[in-house]
Amino acid sequence: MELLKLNNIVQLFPLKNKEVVVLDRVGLSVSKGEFVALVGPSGCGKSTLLRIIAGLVKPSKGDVIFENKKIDGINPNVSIVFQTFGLLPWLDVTENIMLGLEARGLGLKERLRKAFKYIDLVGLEGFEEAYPRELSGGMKQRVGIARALVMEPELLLMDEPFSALDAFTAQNLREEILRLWSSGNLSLKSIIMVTHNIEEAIYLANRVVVLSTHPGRIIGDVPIPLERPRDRNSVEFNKLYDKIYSMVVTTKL
Amino acid sequence: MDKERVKLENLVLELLVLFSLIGFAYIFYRREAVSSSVIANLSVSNLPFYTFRSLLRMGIAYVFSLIFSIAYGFAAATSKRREAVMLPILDIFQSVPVLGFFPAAIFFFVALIPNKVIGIEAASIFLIFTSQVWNMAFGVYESLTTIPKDLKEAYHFFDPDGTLSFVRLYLPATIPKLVYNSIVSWSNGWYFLVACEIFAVGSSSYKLPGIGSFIMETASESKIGLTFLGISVLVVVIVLLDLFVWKPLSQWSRRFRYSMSPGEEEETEVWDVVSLFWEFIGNIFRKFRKPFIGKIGNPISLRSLTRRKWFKVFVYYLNKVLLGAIIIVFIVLIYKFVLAIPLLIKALKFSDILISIKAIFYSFIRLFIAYLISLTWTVPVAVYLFYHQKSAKIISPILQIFASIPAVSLFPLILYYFIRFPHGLDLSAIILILTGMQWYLLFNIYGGLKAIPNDLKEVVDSIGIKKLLKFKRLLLPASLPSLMTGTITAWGGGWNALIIAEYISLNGKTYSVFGVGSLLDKSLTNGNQGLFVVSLFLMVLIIFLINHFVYRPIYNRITEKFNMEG
Repeated sequence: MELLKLNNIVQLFPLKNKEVVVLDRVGLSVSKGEFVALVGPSGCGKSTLLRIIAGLVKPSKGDVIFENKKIDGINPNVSIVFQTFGLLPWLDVTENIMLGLEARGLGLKERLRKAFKYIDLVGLEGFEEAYPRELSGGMKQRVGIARALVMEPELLLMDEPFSALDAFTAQNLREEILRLWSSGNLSLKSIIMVTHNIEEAIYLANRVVVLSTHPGRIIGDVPIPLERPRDRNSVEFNKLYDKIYSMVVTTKL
Repeated sequence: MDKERVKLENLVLELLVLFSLIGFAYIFYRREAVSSSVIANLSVSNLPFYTFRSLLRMGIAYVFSLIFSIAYGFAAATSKRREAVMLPILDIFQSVPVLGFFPAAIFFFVALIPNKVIGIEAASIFLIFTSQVWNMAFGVYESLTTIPKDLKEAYHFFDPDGTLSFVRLYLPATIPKLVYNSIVSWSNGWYFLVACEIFAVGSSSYKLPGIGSFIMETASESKIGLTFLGISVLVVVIVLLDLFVWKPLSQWSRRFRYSMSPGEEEETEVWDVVSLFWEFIGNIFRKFRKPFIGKIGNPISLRSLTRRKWFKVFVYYLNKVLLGAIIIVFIVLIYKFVLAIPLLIKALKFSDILISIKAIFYSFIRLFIAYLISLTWTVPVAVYLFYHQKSAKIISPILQIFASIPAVSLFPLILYYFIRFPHGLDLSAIILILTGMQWYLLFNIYGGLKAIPNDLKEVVDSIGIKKLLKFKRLLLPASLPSLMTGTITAWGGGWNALIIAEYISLNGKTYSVFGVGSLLDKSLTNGNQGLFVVSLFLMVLIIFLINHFVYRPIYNRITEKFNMEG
């Protein structure tokens, strides 16, 4: 079952008097149940692609098809987790999480009920009334994840969600994401994650899509058939790592 | 062959420009010698000369401001003990309406300098200086205290004696803020320039030749056409300065920033004409330096100078002497003040205090109304500009030009049109206060909105927050800190505007409304010094109290809750 389809996405960016091609005829199809990682060197437009999927950025050419419908504007069935968390500093944890529900016109009681459900799910009990500045980076990203999940999206987009965290916290949160993803408690059908960390991509995703830079094109689509929990030191893991690594490196030349 | 010809052509052209510059200066010099230093002739042909005189006044004041602010900021930032004294002083000076002290400055400088005209010139330059300097000194202090620690540590590793630290570390660190604040200071300076080129103290009135006095004088003689001309010349000068000086300078200053924080400043694009102009000037300069290079001998190296032992001893004693001098000046000032207390008490009348408080209350109401009006129009406009980036690119430079017109220069015009209405002066006073307040609010709010980090905007958009909810949850909270900064500067500008807004003579008639501004003017013309001192003192005291006990706590709470470093 296909959830998302990208048709020949082209993104141009005006620079002084010429136009730079950021994304060049990108086509991608994501099925339900897939965890896709977008990997590529910096500046390849993978974050832009994520924003196009969310409807935050309108592509210069091409269509985004979600559940057989063309998407124009913000896609309400999609949520994003941001690299820099994107928490409003003047709202506490609960208020930050409820923000999107308020926009949907839910009553306060309903908003609180849902917010508390996801606060429990991501392990933020006891921090309901804390302000973002009082939280550690890992806690902030938990709020970011809860805020995305509370909207009960079918597709979750993650833009380098762990790259602003230290290595231990990042690994903790990765396990957390896998736990939530495999628990089946969520409305979630698919996840698309942008990362430049190949190991992270292989560890989490069941499909790695490699983008080239200048212009951004899809140059590889590698299925990851490994069983979970995955062993980073296994031969298969390292083979996949080498394969994807050589793809990314060659795009720079 | 061709190259040689181009070279020759360039040389001729450059010489031509140089000679015409010399000629230009000569003509002005002649003019200066011929015409007395008092404005007498309102003909249009005198306008360039007046403009030049005003520019000169501004330039001198600015040079003093620059030297003072670097010295003051450096001294305050490099020692905790000095910081504890110098920072509160800076704070008070920044929030007090300097215009109220103008008569005192005139008395002081006229008494100090035997030549009356030079004394008045000095007083007006001093006033312009006081309007420019505080905000620049604050900028220097702020940029020195925010030098990243790792950079300082790295620097001290390479220059353990710190012989060059001022030139290589501290001075460059101040440049971005200094340039940015200089722009603000210059617009402050224009405001005061217009206000203090023409004034009356007691029975005698002084009119310094300048663009400001030209505007005021033509307006009071109802030559509205000439007034408009004067204002347009002023605007042209301000815009040219912006294009040829401040735009290139702020582009250059960006090199000295440690990091790019988004939205902090607008991208400044320097026109090709401007770059060519400065290149041209640079070429001339180099041509005339060439013959001297190598002939004068190597300039004394600062490094070898500061390494010498006698230099260190000299600096040590210089420091002691300076400190001693400052202490002596303070003691003298305090002694004088103590001596003056009995005289002041004698002159003090209870009725004066009551009148002053009542006047300050009336003025405060006027300011408050102007503030509310400013808020009601600037917030929607700032939000509109924020949402419509394309039209903002056209509109915001136009608004900046409007904002650069010193409000004081508009006052005769505003009064001219509003005086016929009932409560005309009240109305025009409020409008003048408005012109002194609104721009600070507008540009601060707009700046705050533009500084909203992109990820926050994307978050809010991606979860479908729109319109009123977006304003309530994102735009308003994000712009509150800069709104508060805008508010304090707006009120500062407002109090200053007030002092001239409530009392004016037009066509030989004086118009006034009851308020502290008119009270100051009237008490001075009537020679009632007791009332003048009381009302000035009370005004300063009340402004200070409001700042400390109302504004500061609100400001601190808002910046704590709504700052972006979440």
